[in-house]
Amino acid sequence: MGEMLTARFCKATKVPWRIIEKDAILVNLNSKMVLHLNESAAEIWKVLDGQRTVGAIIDHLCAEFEVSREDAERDALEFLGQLQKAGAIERR
Amino acid sequence: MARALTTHVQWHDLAIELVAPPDWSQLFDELPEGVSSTGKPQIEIDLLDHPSGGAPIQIWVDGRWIRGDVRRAGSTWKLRFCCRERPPDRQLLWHLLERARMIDWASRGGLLLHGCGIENQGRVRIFLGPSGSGKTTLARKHRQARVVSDEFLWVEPHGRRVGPNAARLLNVEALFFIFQGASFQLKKLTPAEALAGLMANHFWALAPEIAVDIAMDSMRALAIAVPSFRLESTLDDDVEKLLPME
Repeated sequence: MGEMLTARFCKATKVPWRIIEKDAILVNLNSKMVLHLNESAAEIWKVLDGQRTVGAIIDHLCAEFEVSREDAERDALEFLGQLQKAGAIERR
Repeated sequence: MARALTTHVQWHDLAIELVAPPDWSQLFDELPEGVSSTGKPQIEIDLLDHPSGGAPIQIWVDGRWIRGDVRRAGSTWKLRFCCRERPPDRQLLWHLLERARMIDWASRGGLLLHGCGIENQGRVRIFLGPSGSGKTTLARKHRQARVVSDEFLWVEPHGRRVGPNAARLLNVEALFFIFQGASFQLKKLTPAEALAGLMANHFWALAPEIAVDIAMDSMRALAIAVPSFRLESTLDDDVEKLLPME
């Protein structure tokens, strides 16, 4: 868990995306899978720049939304796992 | 080494330069000729140079894939296809020219959707969904409207007009994403849900990767501008009664 909090991820190439009404819609051009991210997931997606650690992203979520650190960490790690599985992000 | 043949073709609104081996000579003799107003082709199709280095593309002709690639050189798109295993004929030529047209369309933000369109008094409703979802069945049951396309839809760049090709576009009234269900259900979608649906039903493989960004902008604009619905149907439903077009 601690190792994951210092990891850095960036958006994969060939995954175009757009923000629309605070949600994010992505498509993996290799698998043709479309992902619809709600507002909080879209907020994580937006800041996946390869520079911020996962820990810093969780800090950002706690500042943006009314959520406990524990809940933010659990949800963020689960979501990042789903994005990795979908091929939407790459670890730096 | 045999000399390459070059000809210029006016294909709809595109000026295309074709470079081919000598065995295409008879086909070239029958082609209509023309050049763009600037004298420079918008698209170059090269059948002589072996594809490598560009973004890969392929077309399905007569039960076989023809492979090639596409790249941008200044303001011109360059397509290269490997056609050596197939003799040159009109069907093959048509497919090559149509692919060039699709690439030009996509590069300007035009969309290529997998769907069915019906039209009544200049207004079009689009049914989108995977093969077998019932798009064509529902469209053909609607007696108040005529089917404008039952497989391929061209959507204008950043706009809301659609048609079976780039030359015959009409205003889109609504988008319907089709699913088979136990009963008729209609649910209005948010623009975000509509955008997800459009992305899932776009022919990404037909557009060059360099045009993806501009296609996304067009999709987003369409999702915001046009009302969209999730439509579940048993395919036995009276579509005309349930979705009247006045």
